[in-house]
Amino acid sequence: MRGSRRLVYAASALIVLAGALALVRWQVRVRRSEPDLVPVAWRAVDQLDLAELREEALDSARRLVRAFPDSPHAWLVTAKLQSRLGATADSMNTCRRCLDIDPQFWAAYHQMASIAIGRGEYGEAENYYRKLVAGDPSSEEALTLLAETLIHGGKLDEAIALLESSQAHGLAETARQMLLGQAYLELQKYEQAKECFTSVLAAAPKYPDAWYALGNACTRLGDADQAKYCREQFDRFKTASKSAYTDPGGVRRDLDSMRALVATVHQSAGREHLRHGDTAEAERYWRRAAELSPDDQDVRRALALFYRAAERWPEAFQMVAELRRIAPDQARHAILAGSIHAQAGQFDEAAEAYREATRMAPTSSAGFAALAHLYLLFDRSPTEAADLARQAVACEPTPPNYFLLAQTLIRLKDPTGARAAIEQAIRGDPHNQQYQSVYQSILAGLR
Amino acid sequence: MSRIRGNRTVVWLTVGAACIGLALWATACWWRLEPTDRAPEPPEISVVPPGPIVLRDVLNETGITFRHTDGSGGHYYIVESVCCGMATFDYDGDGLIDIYFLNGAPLRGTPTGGPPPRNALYRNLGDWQFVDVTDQAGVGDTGFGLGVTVGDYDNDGYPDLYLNNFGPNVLYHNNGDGTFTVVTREAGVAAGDQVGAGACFLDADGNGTLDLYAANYVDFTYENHVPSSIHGVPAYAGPVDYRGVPDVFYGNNGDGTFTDLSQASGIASVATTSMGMICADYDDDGDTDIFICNDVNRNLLFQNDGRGHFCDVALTVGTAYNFQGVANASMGVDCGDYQNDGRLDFFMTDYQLEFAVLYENTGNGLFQDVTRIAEAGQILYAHVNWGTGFCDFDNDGHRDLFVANGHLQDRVEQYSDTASYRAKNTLLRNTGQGRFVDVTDSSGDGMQIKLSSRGVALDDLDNDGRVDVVVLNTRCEPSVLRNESPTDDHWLQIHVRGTTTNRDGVGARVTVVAGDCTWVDEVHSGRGYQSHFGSRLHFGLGRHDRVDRVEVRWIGGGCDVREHVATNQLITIIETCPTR
Repeated sequence: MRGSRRLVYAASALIVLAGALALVRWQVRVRRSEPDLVPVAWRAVDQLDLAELREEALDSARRLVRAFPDSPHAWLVTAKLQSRLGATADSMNTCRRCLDIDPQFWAAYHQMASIAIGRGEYGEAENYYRKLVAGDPSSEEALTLLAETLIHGGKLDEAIALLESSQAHGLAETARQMLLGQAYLELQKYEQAKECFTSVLAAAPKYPDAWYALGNACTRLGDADQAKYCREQFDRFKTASKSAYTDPGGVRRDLDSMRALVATVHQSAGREHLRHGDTAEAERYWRRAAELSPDDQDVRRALALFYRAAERWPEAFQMVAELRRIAPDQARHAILAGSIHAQAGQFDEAAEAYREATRMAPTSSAGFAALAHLYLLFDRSPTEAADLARQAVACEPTPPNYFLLAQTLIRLKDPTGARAAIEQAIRGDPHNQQYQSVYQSILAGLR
Repeated sequence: MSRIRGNRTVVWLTVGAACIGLALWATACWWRLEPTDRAPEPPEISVVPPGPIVLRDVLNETGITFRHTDGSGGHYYIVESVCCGMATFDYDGDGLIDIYFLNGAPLRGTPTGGPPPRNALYRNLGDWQFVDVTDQAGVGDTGFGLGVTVGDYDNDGYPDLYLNNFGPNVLYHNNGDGTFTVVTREAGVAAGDQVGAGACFLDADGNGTLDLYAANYVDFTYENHVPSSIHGVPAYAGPVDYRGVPDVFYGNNGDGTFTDLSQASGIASVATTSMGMICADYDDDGDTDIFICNDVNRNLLFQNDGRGHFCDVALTVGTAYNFQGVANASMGVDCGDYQNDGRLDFFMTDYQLEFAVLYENTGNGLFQDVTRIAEAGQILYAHVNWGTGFCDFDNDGHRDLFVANGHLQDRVEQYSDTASYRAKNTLLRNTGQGRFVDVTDSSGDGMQIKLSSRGVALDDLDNDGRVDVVVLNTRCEPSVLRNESPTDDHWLQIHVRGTTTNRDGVGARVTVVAGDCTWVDEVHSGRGYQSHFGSRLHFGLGRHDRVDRVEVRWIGGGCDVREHVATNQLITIIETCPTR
């Protein structure tokens, strides 16, 4: 009798537990299916106050993790939003969740390190950056940030060792020398610091930070005149970006900033939907982001490329028009317009857009290279294509431009010239498989 | 048996309920995505053994009942956020340092009622007893106080008081009988209706009388108030929302009146966002120069040509920016020789997410930001810092640094879990090796107070040879910290009195030599965050029990020397040597 009662109690408890779990599962399913995948109807941007904008950002992040609960990218959107809204402890927890899902999701360490730096916890930031660098040794950004953190944290010898290691040779030389110089300066090795900053200025003579840093080195070396000269040069080149008073922004600045934040969340949400193949949702989020952030070029470029891929030409050109309104003097927008015309089969319009790009940025190879590509694509005058490729090489003798020149010369049936060009490309990028393959076929043709 | 059975029933039901509870909790956790408004409570701080510096909170024993108001009424006027400095000085010449607190005043739209808030003067009775003598002294200005300085502008032997307000400024003449008289209009130093900041008396032209520099912050008026918010939370606008305005420089006519020489002196050539300031002979050429902190603009360093004409040399000498060439949101500044090399260095406080800056005087007329090398700024990165001062708290011969902290945004916790309106102040102990260490947690209960501090004054309130601290905290009571550092090291305090130069000896440089050690300091009027303190110079001497030589170099170059001076005493050196 007693045993059967015990069984009844046990069964009752289990039934209640099972009921509770079922309730939870049901809730999960309801919340996963209903909301979250039903597109939200957004209100007109100009009707939203700050609280509503904040809620829109949070809602976008919530929906994203409900839609893709196993995606660390989706969780990272939430982590970044939490951090921007000042909840860094929550953001840290969300980053840990990203790492639970994928221990090799290095971007989470980046976010955690940023939070640690904001708290002044350089030791912790260093740990995160070290993990980031270990996971992604080729990341220039990770190396730079680790070196900066080491310098800020006073670990100068370690910073120098890192910057002089082969690992750091992937960094842009000016960035590497600048960081090295700062570390030497702190170590009171002023001659070495001076050498570093001088080499930076040889490559970038209008770089104000390098002038200031060189002034610091000269101060220590007792060269007062040179120090003063350096600081004057710094002031000269810094002037353009220096002005404390902007305008009485006040609440409007806060509103603009919150709109930009919401737009950032939507952009990330759009990217995540696209990664999962949901182009309609991606487009919706990006359009909302563009609406919220009327001067954001990145989201408009993303939309333009999206429409180009979808062959939705009017919408693609509409985005280009908006980009040109925002930044009328940027040649890259003309090149984007050309690429859309080219894909739409409009040779003349594409060529005109690319030519416009060459007029806007005559020292850049981008416009000439795009024109040369266009000639190849439409099988137009190979002579003109080769001339354009040569102009691109003259502007910027990079491996891709030499490769382009080689392609035009092959079309022009000039294998010797093509071989010379491809050899230049390979010299600059010896491990590029495509270059090697074309090189082999040129050699085969020459035999 | 039935009771056991009943207990088992309870157990099973409890287990079931616990399971349900757990399940519901797990669900709640599953759903929790939104950021919380507040960070989790920090863990309890473990008890740290006392260090070489001990500052004890003794406010409740002093009789000081002053409470600060910033005049706020929910409108978030920018002036509330920067209010205000304070002063310590011996107003009645009784040998005890007294305390003067600035106060705010109700701003437009703030409900009023009862007696208006006013500044307060507390007379030091000795034995840590203070009495409010504001009424008797007649210094209870009800204007909106921002900056203050002290100097005997008429050389009558009694220190006078200048208030740099939001609104008309005030000059109080010390009558020498414990009372003051407002002489602003007669003296011609009202400085118009502006947002004041720091102020300093200095003898710019070496004529033996004190001139006056009054810094101004921004062009705020009620009419151009910029309502602001951060993430929708009401917030104070910043200096980028307003234009900077030129400071004002008054030349002393020698007859109790001043002439506005802002244009003629070169001061008015710059319109910027001034805050704390200090006057000091940075290049050791015998005249007094002027360092001014600017909020989000480069700092100014006005080099004096010796005749009261100034030229800003901050950029070329290296004090305009931090080590990266960035203009910080500079708040307060003090100067002192932190490594006893005979040169005056500057320490400057800054905004949250900026390193405070220690500018080392390299001796060739130049400065370098050595904050990271000296480890003098990292610990302050998370805070907004205001008042500051170099001071040898433990008399070990090396000047330490006191820094007042506290965010200016009173709702910062609503949009940031890494910042707080109230914060502990910071004490950085000078190791004597060119570096500082944070000893806040081991330096007594006075350093554990968490309020939103602004002005700071460092002076020896009980004449025991250990420098004490008074802190003005916004919107609440001040902090009075008694220095109880367990030190046997020696000290010397020096009070200088000019006869042919200005009576307070402002600008006089004092050099103390004991064995192979040399210390220098200078008499300042106005320093830190829009405050005044330290007219009586304090030298920690470490183990040196005799001073070989004290030299006072007066403005203009005359020198007085004392040799073989006993330690652990206050001495007065009166100017006898004629100026060259």
